[in-house]
Amino acid sequence: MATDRRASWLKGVLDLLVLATLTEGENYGYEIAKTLAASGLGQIKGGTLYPVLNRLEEAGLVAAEFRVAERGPGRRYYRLTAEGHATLAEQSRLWRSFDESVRSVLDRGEPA
Amino acid sequence: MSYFDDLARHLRERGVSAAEIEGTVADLTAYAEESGTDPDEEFGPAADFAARLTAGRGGATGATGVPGEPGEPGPDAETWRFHTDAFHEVVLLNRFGDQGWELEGFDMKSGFTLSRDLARPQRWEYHREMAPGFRRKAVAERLAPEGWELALAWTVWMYFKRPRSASLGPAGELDAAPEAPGRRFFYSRRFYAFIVVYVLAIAALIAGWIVIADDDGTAIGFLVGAVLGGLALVLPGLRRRR
Repeated sequence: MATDRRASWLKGVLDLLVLATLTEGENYGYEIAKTLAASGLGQIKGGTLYPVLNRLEEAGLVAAEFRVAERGPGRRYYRLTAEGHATLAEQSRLWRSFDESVRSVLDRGEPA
Repeated sequence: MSYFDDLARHLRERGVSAAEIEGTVADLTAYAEESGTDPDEEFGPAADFAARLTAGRGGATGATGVPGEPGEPGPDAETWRFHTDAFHEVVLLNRFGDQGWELEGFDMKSGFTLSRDLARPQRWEYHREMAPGFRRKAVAERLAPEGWELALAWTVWMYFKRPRSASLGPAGELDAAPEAPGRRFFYSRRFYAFIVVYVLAIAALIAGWIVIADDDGTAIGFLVGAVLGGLALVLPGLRRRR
């Protein structure tokens, strides 16, 4: 039950988190997944992450560039666009406001 | 066929350009190598993953307002897969569609993949057309005015879906979803009869060949090849039954 609820929360905010991982510069899929895992969000599978990246790209919030590697297969690097930066700022504000409301209600429900 | 070959084929069928497929496959190959994971485990069945990678409308909406893809079941959705044969599949798809199952994808390994919204299950109906690749667009355009949406295309087959609410209104929604079927394999009697007739026909052909041409080796080689080739065409799902 706890896992289901956590997965549900993550689903609602994963695109925002992916945008946030790109604020320090461009990155590629596996490194994005590792960054999210290192933040305590658990291992996000590639099958979940890549469709999110594709949708963000289609929406113009990230731009992707494929680069051939000297050795081994190439990688697609993602970076935030200006629209992505603006969306991240706006949605982060809304999320924090939502988080504050949830905390407020939960704090009232906490036994003294 | 490797996972990424299979994925590339599904992406091609969905109209993704060769250059984009090449970049995607290279990137995902690098991901699998770096993470040390099995692609099937990491990305899910190739047909489903291709559907999720190429879909950008409907479904859930994340925090940024970017719509989720219809092929990605949310926390309130369940997924179920089944195998069947070409004789029986449309009947079954409609039977399961009436129980709220929406067709999401197909591949040789997993069979048909369907999902169902647990919170608000709705009934679906299905239609199949046979068309070569160059006619697919025309077929989809012909059926679109009737509300048919292409669910998937595989080899010469095109599978269309339509919510029953398009014709029934509110009755298209289910009050409660019945349990997912306990079986995953549904092969028809007609399918087994076809196998028997097919093998007998090939055997008769070869017997005639042996009598007329007096060439046992070539004839037997042809027989083995024909039987294996025919079975590979019509029995893709059975190899997963064991």
